[in-house]
Amino acid sequence: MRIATLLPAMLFALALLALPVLGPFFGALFPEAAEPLYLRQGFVALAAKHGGLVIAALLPAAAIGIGLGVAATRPGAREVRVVADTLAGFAQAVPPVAVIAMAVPVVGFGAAPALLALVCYATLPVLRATVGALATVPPDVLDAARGAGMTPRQMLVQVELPLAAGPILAGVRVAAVLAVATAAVGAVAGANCLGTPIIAGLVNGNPAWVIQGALLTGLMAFAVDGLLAAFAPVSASPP
Amino acid sequence: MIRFEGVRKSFGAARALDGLDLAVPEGAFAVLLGGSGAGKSTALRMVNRLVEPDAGRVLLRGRDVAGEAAPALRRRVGYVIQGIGLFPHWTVARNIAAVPRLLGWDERRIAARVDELLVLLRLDPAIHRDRRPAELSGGQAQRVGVARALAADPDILLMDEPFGALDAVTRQALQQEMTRLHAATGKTILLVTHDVDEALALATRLAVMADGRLLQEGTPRALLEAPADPRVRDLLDGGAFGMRRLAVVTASSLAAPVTEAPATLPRIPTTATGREALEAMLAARADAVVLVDAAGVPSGVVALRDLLRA
Repeated sequence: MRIATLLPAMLFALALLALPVLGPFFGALFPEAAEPLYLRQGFVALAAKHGGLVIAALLPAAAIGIGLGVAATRPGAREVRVVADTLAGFAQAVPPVAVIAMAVPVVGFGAAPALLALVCYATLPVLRATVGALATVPPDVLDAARGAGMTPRQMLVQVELPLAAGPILAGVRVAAVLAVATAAVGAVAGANCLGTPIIAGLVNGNPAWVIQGALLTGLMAFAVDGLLAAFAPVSASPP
Repeated sequence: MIRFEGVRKSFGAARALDGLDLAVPEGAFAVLLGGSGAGKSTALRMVNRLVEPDAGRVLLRGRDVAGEAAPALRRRVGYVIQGIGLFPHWTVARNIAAVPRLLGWDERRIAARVDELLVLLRLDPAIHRDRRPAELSGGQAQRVGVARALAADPDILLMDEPFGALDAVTRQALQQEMTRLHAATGKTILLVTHDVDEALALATRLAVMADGRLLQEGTPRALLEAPADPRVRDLLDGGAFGMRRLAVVTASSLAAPVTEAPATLPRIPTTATGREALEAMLAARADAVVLVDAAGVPSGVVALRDLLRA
């Protein structure tokens, strides 16, 4: 674990603590704003809810992405591959805001539509990484594993997933960063998160709030990226 | 031991095996020889059910291999491939232990077996046990590949062009190693190659294939002496027929008893082939060589003209 990978996390923590006392600074920057600091909820509480949204979306996304990726790469799983491709194409074509807007009539306002969109968007990089990583397992290794008498499950668990773990975790990391950024959009549908000050700032014509929400969201994305890089295994492949 | 009965297999429109009948006797070092597309790898991979026949059957000790679950069958059949296919995320020891672990051996027995096999393949356990495949040379990696195939003490060893990707020197060393292993373990070995000299050097039984069929099967010498098919003759001749005939006889079978061994004559081991005897004579510009046993005691002498009896 290198110190550099923890730097964004420290910056994010520093910003969370420092923002509440920077009211005069924002007041000077935006003199026309009546409330230069977003005070309706604490930034720490917003960040915690934002993080909760991300985790709540990332776990199912990782499970679906890895599961679909594994299923799509099994021999004779042409239908699964078609479904995965369709899903990936759909998720790519429709912007997050549209997914949220379409979800609201079905699941109502609040965190639910945001979660739905997050799961959709976070699944894609995991799925891609899983399919790609499993495809890089050398055919000779698979032949040897089969020839040694491993069952398909043993091949997957003992050989394929360990060899593909690095790129799959990289995909999860991409998904996490994407989820942090996308979660902010969830505020449109009423989800409580770091996007809430941004939406409130846009609605009330208060650029200071927009900057505060955007700054924290951005720093949180960097922090998550750094933390996951720090805890990811160096590489399952040989040195 | 291994018997193919009317085996057919097509991959799409391509016919790989077109009615293969072949029996490999117990304890043989059998080599399937043929050009690419002859169907030899397909035949080999049917023995451990990596390929299933469209028609016909493959018998192992009289029992159809299709009657046994494929993973269980494969665990008692050693398998070595050209690409070696060591598991890159495991140490050498863990690689060799692959099948014993699948069979549920206890750790102590596995560790002992791993060291035993490393010694058998002439790799120092203390040095190589904990290495990763990426840290091995090609020759060392294939030694580990062979050790892995032998780990659970299978009766049969299947080898699919095992030395094809190695340089000439390493390849020859491993060929000699396999001859030694075959003699030491008595295992039935089925090896696929397109290299005529490799086939002649290793085989006790040689089967020549073309177009998914068996052309001829027998001892290497019998095939050299009496090819049953022009394609067998063309393949085995290759412009080196005389040298190849010399390569399949032992020098000791041509030797005369030694009365006195002139010190000026070159000396070669009694296990050498006629071809190696000729090579030694040509190299030393001598008209005879002395065969010496492991202790260095002369056991016979081969003169140049003796080679004509090969």
